[in-house]
Amino acid sequence: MVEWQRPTKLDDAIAALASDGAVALGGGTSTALLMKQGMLSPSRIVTLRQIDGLRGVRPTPDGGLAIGAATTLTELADAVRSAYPALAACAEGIGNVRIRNVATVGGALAHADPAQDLPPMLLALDARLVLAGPAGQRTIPLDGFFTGYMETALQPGELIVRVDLPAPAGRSTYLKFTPRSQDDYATVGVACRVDGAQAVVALAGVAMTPIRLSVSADPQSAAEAAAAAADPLDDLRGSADYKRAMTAVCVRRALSGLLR
Amino acid sequence: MKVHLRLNGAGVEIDARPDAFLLEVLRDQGLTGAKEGCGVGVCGACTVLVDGAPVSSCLLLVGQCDGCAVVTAEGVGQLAPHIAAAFSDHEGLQCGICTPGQVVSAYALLRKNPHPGDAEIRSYMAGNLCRCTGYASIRRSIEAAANG
Amino acid sequence: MARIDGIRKATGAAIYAADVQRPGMLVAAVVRSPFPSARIKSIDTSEARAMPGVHAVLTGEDVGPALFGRRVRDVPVLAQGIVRYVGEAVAAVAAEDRPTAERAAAAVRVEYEPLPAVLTPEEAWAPGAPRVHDAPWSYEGAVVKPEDPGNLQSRVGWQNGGDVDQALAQSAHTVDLVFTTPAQHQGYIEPQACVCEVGRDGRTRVWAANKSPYRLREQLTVPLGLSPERYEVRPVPVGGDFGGKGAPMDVPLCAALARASDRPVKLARRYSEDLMAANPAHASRTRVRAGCDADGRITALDVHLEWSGGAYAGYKPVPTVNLHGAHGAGSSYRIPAIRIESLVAYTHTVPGGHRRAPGAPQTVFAVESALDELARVAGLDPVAFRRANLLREGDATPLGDRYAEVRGVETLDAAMAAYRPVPAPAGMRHGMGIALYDRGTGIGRSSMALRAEAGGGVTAFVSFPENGAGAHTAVQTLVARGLGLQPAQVAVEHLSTDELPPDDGVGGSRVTASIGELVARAVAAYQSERPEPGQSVTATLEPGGTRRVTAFAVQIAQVAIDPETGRVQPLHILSAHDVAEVVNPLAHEVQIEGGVAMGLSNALLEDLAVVDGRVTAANLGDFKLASQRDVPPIEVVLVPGGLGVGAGNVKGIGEMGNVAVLAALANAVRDALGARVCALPITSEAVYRVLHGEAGQ
Repeated sequence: MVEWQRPTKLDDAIAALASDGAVALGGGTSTALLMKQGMLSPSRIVTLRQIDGLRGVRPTPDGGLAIGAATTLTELADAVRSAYPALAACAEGIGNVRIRNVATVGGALAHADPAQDLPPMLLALDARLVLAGPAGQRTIPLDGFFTGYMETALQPGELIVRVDLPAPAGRSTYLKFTPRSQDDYATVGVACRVDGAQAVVALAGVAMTPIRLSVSADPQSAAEAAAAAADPLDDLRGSADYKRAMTAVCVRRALSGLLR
Repeated sequence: MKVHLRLNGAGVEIDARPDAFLLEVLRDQGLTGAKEGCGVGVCGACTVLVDGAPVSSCLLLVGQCDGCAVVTAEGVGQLAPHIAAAFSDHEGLQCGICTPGQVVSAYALLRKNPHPGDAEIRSYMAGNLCRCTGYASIRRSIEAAANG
Repeated sequence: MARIDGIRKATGAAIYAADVQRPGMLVAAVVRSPFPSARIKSIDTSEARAMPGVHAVLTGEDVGPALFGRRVRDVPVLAQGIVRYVGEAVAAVAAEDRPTAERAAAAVRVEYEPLPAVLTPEEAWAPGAPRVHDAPWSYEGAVVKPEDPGNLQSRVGWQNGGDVDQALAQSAHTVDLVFTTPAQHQGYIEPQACVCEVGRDGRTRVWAANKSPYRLREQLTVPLGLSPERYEVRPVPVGGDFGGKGAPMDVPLCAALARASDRPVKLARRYSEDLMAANPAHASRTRVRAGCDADGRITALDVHLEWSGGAYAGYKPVPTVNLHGAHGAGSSYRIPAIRIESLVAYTHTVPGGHRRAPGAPQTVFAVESALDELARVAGLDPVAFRRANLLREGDATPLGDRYAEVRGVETLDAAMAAYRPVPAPAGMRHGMGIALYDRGTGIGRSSMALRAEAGGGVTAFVSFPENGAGAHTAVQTLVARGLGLQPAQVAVEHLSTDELPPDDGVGGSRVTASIGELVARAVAAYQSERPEPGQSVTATLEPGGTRRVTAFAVQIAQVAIDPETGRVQPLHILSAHDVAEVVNPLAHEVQIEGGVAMGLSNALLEDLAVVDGRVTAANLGDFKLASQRDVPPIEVVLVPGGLGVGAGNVKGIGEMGNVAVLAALANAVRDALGARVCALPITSEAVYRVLHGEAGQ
């Protein structure tokens, strides 16, 4: 029989997650799918939404934003709409309204599916993660957090507690290429931020992890660099060749749109 | 484990397995309006409101709803009977299997915005799949409910 | 006009098969084959049986070798020592709750010896190919013979005596094209589900998501040598059918579990099981050769269709065990020389079934695409080409069928008169495509009763379920009209198979026509016998005896194509229909809109993605059904005044909206691209490859 734990304090959650077979639940949408597919059989479920301080979005002294990991995608979109409009638009394009009402920022990042939209958007915004675990807290850049297909730098028993964004710099956009149904995972997703002559491009759906690139703010060369960095797989959304070609097109379009 | 819900306005205490999803718990209570369709949160046939927000009850572990208000299609039928009537009058349903979910989502939409435009209706309702109607009559039903 | 079932359904009060609760009911789970072809070496159920809460575990040995099916009876209840497709049921469990049942099913240990598999008709018919069935001619209902090629489910052909090869050789212009469509699930949102309960009288009560209860009763009892009264099929609404809910499916297994456990049992599929192992629309490969003379008159049409029938023929109901839609190839036109050949193969894949106008979407996609190409090759406008070749009043079809009227030209003209181009977004290429289809309307066997109620109202008791198309509402409307009552004074109740004479079930474009005729008879009997409150009159209907009627649908699709990505954005679909009387204009319109949306989804989105014999679309995240944002504006144009069927003077509409639209979209893409995509679904990548000079014909 699965054990259910509902701690209100972060330290209690970390202690509860110390045992083998314990999983943390943000909104649970990804966890539920894994359980239903038989890929996850937890012995203990530790739900996080009610933990003090884990929800909510607050401005930080440097002009940036601190996003509690247990903030839902709907809450995120509402909170960042004026300061980070691309992030809001990106969040509002994820899944459907029901998913957005439940799925959390931390849960989305911990799930680490390279087809997801949020990771590249936060990569383009130079997000940093605050993690907490048995060994204490640490802060790491989101860049480098994704270590493999659905794998992250989280140590056993470690949780994402916060996503920190620096003050908005430059202009950003998220382009989600969904050539099948409009309600679908991205075949290719492009997050883009331009700041002067430099740009950051981050990609969904074209490798085992999201990819982040620093490029010059020239659409054509950025597109070529992105296509060269992409390493997609054949799947039901398209062949690797097609996705690579679409990476170039989408990066060029996203960057051109920002430069207009 | 024991889960406390305010279910369609009434406080209830339910004994459920920790790994039971809200959908199964509701259906075991006899509230079979929420259906198991796709089982992966895509089709919307399992839509209910938790603290006013539409959710896929097939993906929500019942423990996540402890202390929450849950409203099902049966509840929306009591709270806003004009929505079900609009769907019935405007052929916003045919086989009806997706309809409880459509009605719950429509109720949430109309509470958020009592007079949504066509684009907002499409976008909000995009996650409720229908195979029978082609969707135009669903939008017409929601517009009628908004105007009625 | 409100739907009679509208409030109940919209408030969650309607009870579908999976909602049925019976005292002491158990829940079932099924063990399914992971191999397309294998011998079962052993099945160890000991661990499953020992689990607390498990009441029955059955294997093929337990249920025995009785074979089921809609026409051919070749489907075992559980695999008999051999599995023939990925997903075939091998064992089943009944337990106290679903998690226990699924855990027990996972604990059943099956040892397989994989065998060579044939996964396409080409492989199935190759010399020396492994046989899916050793003696398919031996099954009840089989149409093949021992001397037929191996792995043949059926072969039908039609021609009109013209020499097709010579006519093509002498034609000014010809096309020779091959079209393919994949296996596609019907996309009903309610998974297959049933509940079986054996009463103390030994009779088995069934609640099933099935649109033909009397046929189901027959299908359940005949293979077991039982009289029909041993089973009662109880009434439930069906949550979407589209042709996929007419087979016995899981009911024989569920009944076996109920007998074995001595408890009621519910067997409701997970959607992934439905995608993998129900009875989808057949994958097809169709070669079309067509020719015309210098003036654009069609000279010949040669259509060769090959269908992946899957591991069992038993999911197809028609006596030919083929797809009747093939018979309609070219039926709308004057064609001096026509030949159609339609072959269905046994393959080690999920068995094919019926899908809304069975065989027609695939056939019309191929033929209307080919004729469109022929027009272009001949330098002619595709609309004018069709108009010139359409049947006229008084014409017989190429195969010699005659109808009371032929209104193809009127329908085409109405479509073109209403057509307005919709501009493509900046930077995208606009394409317009037209296609048409005609389909007959008939009546089927059915029955109903009218009971007088105190207070002047009536209750109409019917023998057929409501699968969404509005049959019950139509009964209410027509009874009210016939008796001069308000609709609110007419209740409609669907009864079990115990109560009324047999009915053929919902489908086949016969429902509204049947209801019109049936209600007229019931009303006439009611008015003549004048029953007292509590007394009833009954009316029955047999097929035939009506005028031969066909209805035309002309559909015009507009698309915008993104030249850099190949993305196809549907802009607008116009659907023009030749109609007679319309009982419920709103329901009629929504049947069309829903049909168009379904056809669009078939054309652009849907693929079960069968790889190495396995359906790889695991859920509705993989197998995309068109959503709110995928369906463009649909404009419905009606051409009234036609000659219909029965006392209601109606033409069927349920299977008219979803057929020609596949070709209309393909033709619109052709118009935009300058080259043709001949495989469905038309993906952005397929278009991209055409744009870059690869593939395309």
